[in-house]
Amino acid sequence: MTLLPEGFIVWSVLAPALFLLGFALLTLLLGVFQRDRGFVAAVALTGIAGAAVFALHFLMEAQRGSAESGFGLRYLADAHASAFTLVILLGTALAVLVGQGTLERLDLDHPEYFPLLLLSATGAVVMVSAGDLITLLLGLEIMSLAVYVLAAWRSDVRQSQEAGLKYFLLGSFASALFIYGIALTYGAGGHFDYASLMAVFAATGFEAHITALLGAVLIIAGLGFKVAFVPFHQWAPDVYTGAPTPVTTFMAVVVKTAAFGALLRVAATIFAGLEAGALGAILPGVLVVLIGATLVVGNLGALLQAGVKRMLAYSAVAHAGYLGLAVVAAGADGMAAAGFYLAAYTLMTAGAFAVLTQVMDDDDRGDTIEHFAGLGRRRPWLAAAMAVCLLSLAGIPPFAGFIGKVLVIQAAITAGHVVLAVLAVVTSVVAVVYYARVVVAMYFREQSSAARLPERPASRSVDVAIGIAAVGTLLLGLLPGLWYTLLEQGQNLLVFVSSP
Amino acid sequence: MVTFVILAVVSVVGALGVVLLRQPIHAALSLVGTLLTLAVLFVTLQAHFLAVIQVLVYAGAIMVLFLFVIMLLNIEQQRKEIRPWLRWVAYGIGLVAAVGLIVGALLDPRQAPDAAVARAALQGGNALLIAEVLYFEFMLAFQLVGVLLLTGMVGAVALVQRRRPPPGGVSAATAREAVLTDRPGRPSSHPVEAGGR
Amino acid sequence: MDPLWVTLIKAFVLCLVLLGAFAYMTLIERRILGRMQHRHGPNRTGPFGLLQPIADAIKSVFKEDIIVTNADKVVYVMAPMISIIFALSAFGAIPGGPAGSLFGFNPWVVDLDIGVLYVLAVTSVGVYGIFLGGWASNSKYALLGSLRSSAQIISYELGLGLSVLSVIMIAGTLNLREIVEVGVWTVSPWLWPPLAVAFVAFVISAIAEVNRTPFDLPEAEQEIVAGYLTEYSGIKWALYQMSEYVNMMTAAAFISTLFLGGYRGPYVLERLIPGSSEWPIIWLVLKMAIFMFLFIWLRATLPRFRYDQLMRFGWLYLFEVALAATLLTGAVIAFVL
Repeated sequence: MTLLPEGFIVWSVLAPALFLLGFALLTLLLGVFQRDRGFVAAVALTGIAGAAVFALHFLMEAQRGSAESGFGLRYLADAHASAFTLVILLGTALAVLVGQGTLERLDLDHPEYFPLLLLSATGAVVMVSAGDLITLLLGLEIMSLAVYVLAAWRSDVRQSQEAGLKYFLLGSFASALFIYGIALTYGAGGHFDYASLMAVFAATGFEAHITALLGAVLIIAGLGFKVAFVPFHQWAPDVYTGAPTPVTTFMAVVVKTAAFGALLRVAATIFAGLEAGALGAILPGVLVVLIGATLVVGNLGALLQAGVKRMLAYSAVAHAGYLGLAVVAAGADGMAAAGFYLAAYTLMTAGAFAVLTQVMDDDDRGDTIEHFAGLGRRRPWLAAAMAVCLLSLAGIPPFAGFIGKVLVIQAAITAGHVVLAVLAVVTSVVAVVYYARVVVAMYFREQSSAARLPERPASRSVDVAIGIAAVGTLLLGLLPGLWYTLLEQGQNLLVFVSSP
Repeated sequence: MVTFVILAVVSVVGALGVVLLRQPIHAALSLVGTLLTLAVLFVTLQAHFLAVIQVLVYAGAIMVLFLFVIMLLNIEQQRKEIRPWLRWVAYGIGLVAAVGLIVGALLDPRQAPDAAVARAALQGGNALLIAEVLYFEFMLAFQLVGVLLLTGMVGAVALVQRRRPPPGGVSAATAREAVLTDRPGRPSSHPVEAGGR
Repeated sequence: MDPLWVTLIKAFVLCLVLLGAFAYMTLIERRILGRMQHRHGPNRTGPFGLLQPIADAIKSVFKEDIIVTNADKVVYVMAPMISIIFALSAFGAIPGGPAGSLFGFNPWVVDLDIGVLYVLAVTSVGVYGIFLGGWASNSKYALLGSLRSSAQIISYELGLGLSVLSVIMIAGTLNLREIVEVGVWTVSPWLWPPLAVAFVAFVISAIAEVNRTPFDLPEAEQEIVAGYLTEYSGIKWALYQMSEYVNMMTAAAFISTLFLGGYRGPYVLERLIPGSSEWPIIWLVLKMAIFMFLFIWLRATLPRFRYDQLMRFGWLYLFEVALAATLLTGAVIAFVL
């Protein structure tokens, strides 16, 4: 009987995920006999806060250069993992707040909502902390399965059913590609964990380049589906639009953060190992084409949309393109830049969707630009928050989105992808147009009689979410160093070092 | 070798049946046949545990559920295809992939490891070997599968068993009890019970 | 390992024995039921009605074999065969005595490291026979019967599998012969409570798995004529009957092997007559007979479950109880032993 090496099982590194899981179960049990949704939401937030404390602890450990890991480098709690965990928790917390304020009004109040949200977040945390492909796959499936269900949460509405089914079918297909990619990678490298794969691929005498390359491309496709890289983005507009807006809030930020966290880690280890070998130039080429297409299609698509929800969906695709710049530059530099960008993205996107829930009616409809006309006069604070989020999304200083864009473009240039960097700059000019349209409507147009704002008391928890998002966006824009230094100076495990 | 060829032919024919047969039940049965043949193939490779799990999980559980759903929904044969050419494109791609796989396997310099070596490695209870890998090396993954199943369960219940509490504030617990008791006269939402009615 | 020809001969003999046992089980069952219901039962054909099974066999073979016009012919013919083939093959892994005790041969057909799983797997495939038979008949009663049956079997497989887990954990092996040799009750008195619970849960699940009263809903006459058997007649109908009885015997042998020391004789008798527990076959057959009698007894005594009661019992009570037994066993092994 083979015994495990000492210190193989380190349950403590799982603390953030376990904490979330525990509270998911708790909210599930509470849902049986507790009808007070506010209480359940508070419990969920407590769980998220507890997990955040643990993640913060690991981030601080990483600052001191003593990043932790467990299960033989299969589960990591280094700077990258903990920082992304924190971003995921932030996104989940915002989604819980938005859900608490809107579920009842939309007639979506079922006891399994918050448990599924927390379970999904658990999967997301596992994804960004994974140190081997199997763990990554399971995290991905846990996260996705919950989100498929949440997307179909309005089971009596066609669009929501369509969103759920479409997401599920295409997502399963993407998972199949991903698993096939894992199989090929395993076939080529003989291992599942990043550390061994990285070493095997970079070693001299490694022969199965084509198999490994195919595996890597399929892994990109699988994760690219989740982050909505073109051409795997087609589900995004329909699903984002069809899903109930509180769910879209969660989907847009948490799923993207988790998938990028995983993709960056894979890029920094396995892909880096592959690129060091023969045929290494192909992989960055594939990525560059995908990302270029994502930038163009995402931004042009957003330009053509009439509904703000659908516009934000395309904008999510476009932002996947900007984050892709960090993936091609996934040394330590790219990872830190993406970590900053995603924190900013989470705040501003969740903020924009939260405002959207306040503008849309009780049937979760009415998101055209007309509905935003005159918002600046009627609800000045709401309009101001929306303006902050949108301008930040457009990348206008001094908001967080601007710093994020600068960082990823810098990282791409350092990595030698100048063409891609130029494309990013050009497309972000296009992006200003469609974001500005909404801002202009809010402040410079009169409220039209056909699209009136629904009359109802404001929800306090949604207001809190919007406040956090807007202030956070501003704060990260003015004092980027607060967050970025933690990312940049924290220790990352499994960093590829090319052998001399 | 003769056994292998027979089994291989049967399993490939079964797999083709899954794609080509029009009647959904026949296609599903064909898949069961393929799965059972694969199980026998595993037995000839001395992988007993894998073979039994294959039968128990795939043929015994998953395919029964498949058939169950097909029968319950009473799926009619699809009469009109939406894009007939798509079928042929798919056949073409499948053919190219199969030929590519065979050529690739034949050209690969690393041939399959000696069967005797593999057999020696599997001697003496391969359930134990699998347990060692599963519960030690992949312990984390094993636990995560549990979380995945839980998520699936919660999700399925959330989508299927949706009961609004009646006005007057009946607690969720009572509502649930009512669903489980399934008193006569109430429409059943439980898929299994609905089937047996 | 036996040479292939020995295995084949043993398999053939086992099939014959099982089918012969089936024939006389029908007689025994009818006689016992008669007794319990204050009537005679079949007693006209030969002494004590001993020739009745032969008469029945002749009737079944020569009766007109109806194939329903709108049936799915291939599946309709295949279904009873699937049923009987898997019923017969499941028994092969059950050991009838210690190695080499049967005139120098091993009293089993195959000795598998994963015997427990093998039996579970093969019996779980057997459900296809019932399932497909009901579907291929193209009749509503048959279809309802087969749907009921498959739902029931899937549901009770959970309880079955979970209660086996206790035994496997205690014995530390999946090999049926080794489980018998370990003797699960002798390991520790601490394990008696969970084992007892698992035993009861297992017996109940096993009865449900073989569709016997009070779980014989797939063929509930008052509601759905004869369930999946409605459109079958002649030899095909007889094949289904055979597989039901063979499954009963497998279940009885499986229970005896897992929980009651299988082929080993009673401890007291071993004290009186040393070596008596080494005798092949006899002890297993005796233990099986007890369970066969139990099955018949239950049939004469208990009314049938209603369908929703059946599902509720399986999912809400049996499953939980079996799970508790498993957890308790695990806890005892981890913390007490």
